[in-house]
Amino acid sequence: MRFMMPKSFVYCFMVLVMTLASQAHAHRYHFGITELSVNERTQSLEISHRFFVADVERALSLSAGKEMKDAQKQMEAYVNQHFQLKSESGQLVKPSWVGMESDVHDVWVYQEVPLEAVQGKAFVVRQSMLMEIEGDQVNTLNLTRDGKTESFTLKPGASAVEIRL
Amino acid sequence: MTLHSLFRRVGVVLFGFAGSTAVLAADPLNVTGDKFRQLEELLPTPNTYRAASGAPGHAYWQQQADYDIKVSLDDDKQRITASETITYKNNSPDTLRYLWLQLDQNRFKPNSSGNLAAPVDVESIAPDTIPFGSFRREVVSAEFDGGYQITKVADARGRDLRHTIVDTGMRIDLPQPLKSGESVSFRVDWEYNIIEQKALGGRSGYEFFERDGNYLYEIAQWFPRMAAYNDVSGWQNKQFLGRGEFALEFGDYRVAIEVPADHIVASTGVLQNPADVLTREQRKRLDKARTAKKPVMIVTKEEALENEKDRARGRKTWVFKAENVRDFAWASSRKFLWDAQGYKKGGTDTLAMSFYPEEGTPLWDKYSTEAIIHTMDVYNRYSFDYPYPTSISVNGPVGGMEYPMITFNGPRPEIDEEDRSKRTYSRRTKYGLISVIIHEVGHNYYPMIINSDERQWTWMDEGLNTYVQFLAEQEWEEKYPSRRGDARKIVEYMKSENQVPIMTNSESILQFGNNAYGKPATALNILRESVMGRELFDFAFREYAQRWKFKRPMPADFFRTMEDASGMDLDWFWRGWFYTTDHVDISLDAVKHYTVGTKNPDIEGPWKREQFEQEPETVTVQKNRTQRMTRIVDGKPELSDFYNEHDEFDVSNADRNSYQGMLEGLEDWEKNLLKVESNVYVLNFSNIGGLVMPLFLQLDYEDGSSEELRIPAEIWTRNAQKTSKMLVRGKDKILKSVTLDPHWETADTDVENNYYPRRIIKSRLELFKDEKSRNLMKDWDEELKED
Repeated sequence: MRFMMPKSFVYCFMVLVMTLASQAHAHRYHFGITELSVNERTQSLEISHRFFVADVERALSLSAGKEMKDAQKQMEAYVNQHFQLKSESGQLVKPSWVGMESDVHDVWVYQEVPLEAVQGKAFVVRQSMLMEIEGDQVNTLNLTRDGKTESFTLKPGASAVEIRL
Repeated sequence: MTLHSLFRRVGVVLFGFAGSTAVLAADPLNVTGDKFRQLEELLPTPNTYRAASGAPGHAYWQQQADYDIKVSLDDDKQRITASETITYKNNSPDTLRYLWLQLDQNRFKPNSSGNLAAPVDVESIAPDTIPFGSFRREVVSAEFDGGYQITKVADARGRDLRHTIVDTGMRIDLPQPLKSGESVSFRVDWEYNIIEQKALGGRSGYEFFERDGNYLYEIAQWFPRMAAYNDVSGWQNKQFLGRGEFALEFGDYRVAIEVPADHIVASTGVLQNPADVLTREQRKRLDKARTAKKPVMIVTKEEALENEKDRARGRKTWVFKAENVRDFAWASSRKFLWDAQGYKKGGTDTLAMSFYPEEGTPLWDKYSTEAIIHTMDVYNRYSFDYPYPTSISVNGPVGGMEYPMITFNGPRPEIDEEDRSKRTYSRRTKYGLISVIIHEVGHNYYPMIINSDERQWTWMDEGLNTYVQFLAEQEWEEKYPSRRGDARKIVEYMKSENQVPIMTNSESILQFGNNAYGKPATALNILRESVMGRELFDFAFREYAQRWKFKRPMPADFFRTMEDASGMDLDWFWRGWFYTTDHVDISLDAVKHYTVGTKNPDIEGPWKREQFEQEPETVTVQKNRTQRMTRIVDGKPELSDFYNEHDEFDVSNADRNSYQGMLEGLEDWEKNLLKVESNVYVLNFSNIGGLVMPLFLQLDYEDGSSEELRIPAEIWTRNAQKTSKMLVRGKDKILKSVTLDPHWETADTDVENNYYPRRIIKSRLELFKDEKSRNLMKDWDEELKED
């Protein structure tokens, strides 16, 4: 036996989708965590989302169109659909996509916004990833600055919260 | 800036040492808070049933419920029809006028509390979407005729008994009160439709294989059974809402399972009639398996593939007996392959077996039975020798669920539908399978035998089991990718503010996986590795298992036993980790450098001058010099005198006489202390996160040497917010840097304040950006291919 690396995202992603059928868990987690972190040093509002790989696979397969060419593009579209920063005037602030990584259990998605674009302003943050699949999904939103963390619990029915950066 | 210039170099008065380092609080009670307060008023008062040591009390009791069940599986309608006689023995000191039974299947009635109480709000999720899983369940639940149809409840002589069904519970009114020490037998008949596991979720159900038209059944929560009655809760009749699992009584079972003649049945207990249901060849292979060094196929792949093609007309009845179990589950299908291997060690003499459809190969034949044996091998060491005669792992629709002697585990390889011989499995699937088998087989110990109340306390079985699972995983192979156990894996959760304490009822837990699995497992691992040490912890943890096997422990019994057997006061640990949502964030605020003042003017004078000369010149002095300022005493030497020749640092004879006078007044030991040429460091810490923890320090010196220090948590007893530690080191030991928690063993949520001098800690996102060459999907899924 030998280990083989997937040749492309396409191949890799197709495998992911097929895995789903057999991945049912009695011990499910239905939990995700999004960190908004003010990095004064790099003048960036860092955004990282950590979710369970199995949950995300399931979400992507259900939200996918007929053609799934690029797993990362699809993930980006999915995250942009469910994680949103809206300013007081109702304008969407679109974070730039930094990338994603994963280990056996978790997937991390990274985004960022220049600090000057958001600092001192109020936003409505919605993080409804996976809530379209499970009615008991709980997403934690952590806002960390100056070493202090504020937490918000987001659930179906209350997936958005107002914060001031 | 070097560390040196950060140190304050101050001479200290020797006699000021005593007690000068601890910050004395003006209001000691308030400042120390409750961190080390004993748990006394939080724990129930010990009594004759539960002793103060954490052991079962001398009058400990529990009820006994024995079952004789006949069940028939309808493979055409996916339906169960059954009848049982329950013999209930009242070992309590109380008289019971009625009995409560659990009707777990009623969870799947369309109008069950579990269904009605499931909240959903589509508006806020995403524009024009509704939760897919919830939607599917909603649609299927509404159409599905689920739940028990109870067709008879009668006494031993067949006379109907009055009964009242309350959602997932049933009360049976006894014609005569059941006194302490008495038994009663009664009969219940019932039927129900088996749920499709994938549509409705849950801990049992069937899976349909479209390709060959076969069904695979995993059957659990399938019989009306006694609710637990105990000294703490009375009847545990909290409804089954789907999350808080089970509170059950031990008993003996005889179960006759009638299925299509070509089905293979896996079940709790020992098969009583192998000659009726197995071929001579299968029985021979089973015998061989008992002493085999590798799993032996009882039903081979070829035989299973052949079997799944036909449909037998006849029926067969498999009879199983199980002693001293708290539950009973089984699985049945004509698709099953079956392998087995005996395991005999210490008090354990058992047969490890796996049942899986051919879709489970090439993963299940390779790992399942080996993982079962490995689990027992490790768990036996940390708790007790596995006492049951079999241990089974079944592959079917349920992702992972435990029952006595039998577990349901989900992961399977991927199959190329165009060429079904081409099979791959990802890294995640492989370790997912091994981990889930270890976890579910491990549940045989917690809570199948150490019978904690799952409906009340999820952490008592999931937390303890996840902790031992971590140990077993780490013994499988080096760098095994364990999800839980290491302190560093729980940091994000710990720093979130929206937690509930571990000591929270099952249904009210927020973030189930982290709260009831991850945090307690990590806390126990930290307790073992970093607070108690392996030897003390392992002894106490095993003592808990020994004391409570085949009994029902409560949280206090665990907390008390761990202290009782280790001789350590751990109330502060339980209080912080189990009763609060505090996290660990300890800051190393300052490092102060002191040297010993010798009092000898001939040493102190020059030293003070040196210190003075190291100070930077004032701007005025500098500018006066560059402008070549002339001073009046330069032109008129007659204005100079004694004081122009001797500065304030020069030592006079008066100073020397005074020093000698002081020395004469000192004892010898005091004189010797003055000669010690030591570096004295005082390290100041503050507790930001709230959880008190030991202080683990790495000290690096300028001479290149390094040392580690482990200071017990009790350093926080007098003041839980701020504390200091004094270190006396040799004259060559000049500190260069200090690191708090260098091995990341406390789940400290902010490590930026763990260094002196401070270091910049890059965020995860920054680190990610730094690794330019990284293949984004590299770790996502590596394929394992078989040649």
